[in-house]
Amino acid sequence: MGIIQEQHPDRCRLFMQWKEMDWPILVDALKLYGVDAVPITYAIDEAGIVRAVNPKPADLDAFLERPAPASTARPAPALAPDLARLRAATGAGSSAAWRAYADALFLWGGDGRLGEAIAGYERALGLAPGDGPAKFRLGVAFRRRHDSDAREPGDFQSAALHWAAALESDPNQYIWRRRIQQFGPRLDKPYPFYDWVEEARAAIRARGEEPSLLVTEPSGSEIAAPAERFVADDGSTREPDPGGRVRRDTGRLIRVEAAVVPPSIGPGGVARAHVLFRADAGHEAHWNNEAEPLRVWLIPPAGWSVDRREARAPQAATAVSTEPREVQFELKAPSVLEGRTVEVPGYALYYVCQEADGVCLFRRQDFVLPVGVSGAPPPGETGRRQSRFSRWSAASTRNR
Amino acid sequence: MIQKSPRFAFLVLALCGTLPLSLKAQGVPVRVGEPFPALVLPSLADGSPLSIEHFRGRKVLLHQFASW
Repeated sequence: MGIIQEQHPDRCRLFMQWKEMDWPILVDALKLYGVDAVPITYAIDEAGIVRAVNPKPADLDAFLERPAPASTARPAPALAPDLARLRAATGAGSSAAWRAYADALFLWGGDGRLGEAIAGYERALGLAPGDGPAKFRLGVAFRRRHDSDAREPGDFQSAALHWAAALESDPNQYIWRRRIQQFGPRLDKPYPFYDWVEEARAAIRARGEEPSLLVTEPSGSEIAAPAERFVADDGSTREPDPGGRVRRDTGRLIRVEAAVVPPSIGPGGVARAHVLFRADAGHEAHWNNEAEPLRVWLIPPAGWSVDRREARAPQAATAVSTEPREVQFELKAPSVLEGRTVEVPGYALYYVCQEADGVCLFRRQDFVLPVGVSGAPPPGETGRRQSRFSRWSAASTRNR
Repeated sequence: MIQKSPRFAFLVLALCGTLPLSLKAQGVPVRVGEPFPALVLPSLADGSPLSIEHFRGRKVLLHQFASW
């Protein structure tokens, strides 16, 4: 059997299908098990006792030949915990009780209760601010909610903030570090995380099967290869709307959200910015795919570099569509940084239609990418975590 | 090759990545000679509760890994 500790377990399902691995897998997205790194293999006997770790062939032979213990009575089948009982236990006011309750909500409560899980972790951290595992799990919960229909603005950035805070509390945590690297810049990547996905799908289809569906497709940062140096934009691309003459999307037909990973960098540091665009369902907004694609332009402050000034999001094949769109940039800080947060402005140009047979408009929306300065308190971390993070994330999309 | 026998549950073939190994533990520790912690976690197959306890009475090779 196996245990995985990935943010997106559905990707492991695809991997298992590709490699034709069919043994049971436990999903430990919260990293409840005490391992600092993977992979690790345990040989466990009939009584559930660990007999070897990463057994060599000789160890494996000995393990297989070992007689079974005298008593291997089967316990009662495992059940999900009683959420009501765990909730009642929080009445004692301990951080451990709140964390246990939040763990159970995350594991068993479904996407609809992720908000409660987040609140539970925040209560735990309010009682034990130094709890690194709780910070990591809070980040996992925020990112899970970001990937669900229950998402709220700022969830992705909140995830990154808490992962960074967790890693700062214990830099030896391998899984915590990998989570930031998964969404971070190429300079900080040990390898491409999910560049195997398309190969897997092709191989599965070649066998006559349908690939297992993914909840969230791997983004650019998750398939990007590592880089040894930062290559800045050469400045040859022409700014599309330098005079700001394109009308603004004041009705917010398109919702813009930004997340920067890692959320804070030092002088000369590099971060990856994720800029996400969603058509507002309340206005029945949708993309017009028969016109120019979504274009995003960054205006780096003096001293800052970007890997590219402009990014374009791919269009869907249909005439109109409502899928979320994302572009990513890499930002490099100057050698001298001051203050707590630096705002990197940018804007998006897009064709958006309102209502089923409504008018299609060409609009501009301005945004900022807030980048924290290492050594200063991270953006939003000044007290009540959730509300401050939300306000900071909302500020990242205010009009200019 | 996956082998199945009355005594032997599963044999894991592939290791994912070239990653360092560590026995240090945070959260629920895992130690040789002691019971493997029987946490109840969702199954990847269908989200149902699953634990190492389901395999009591059989030898198990348990592989903690990631697909990246």
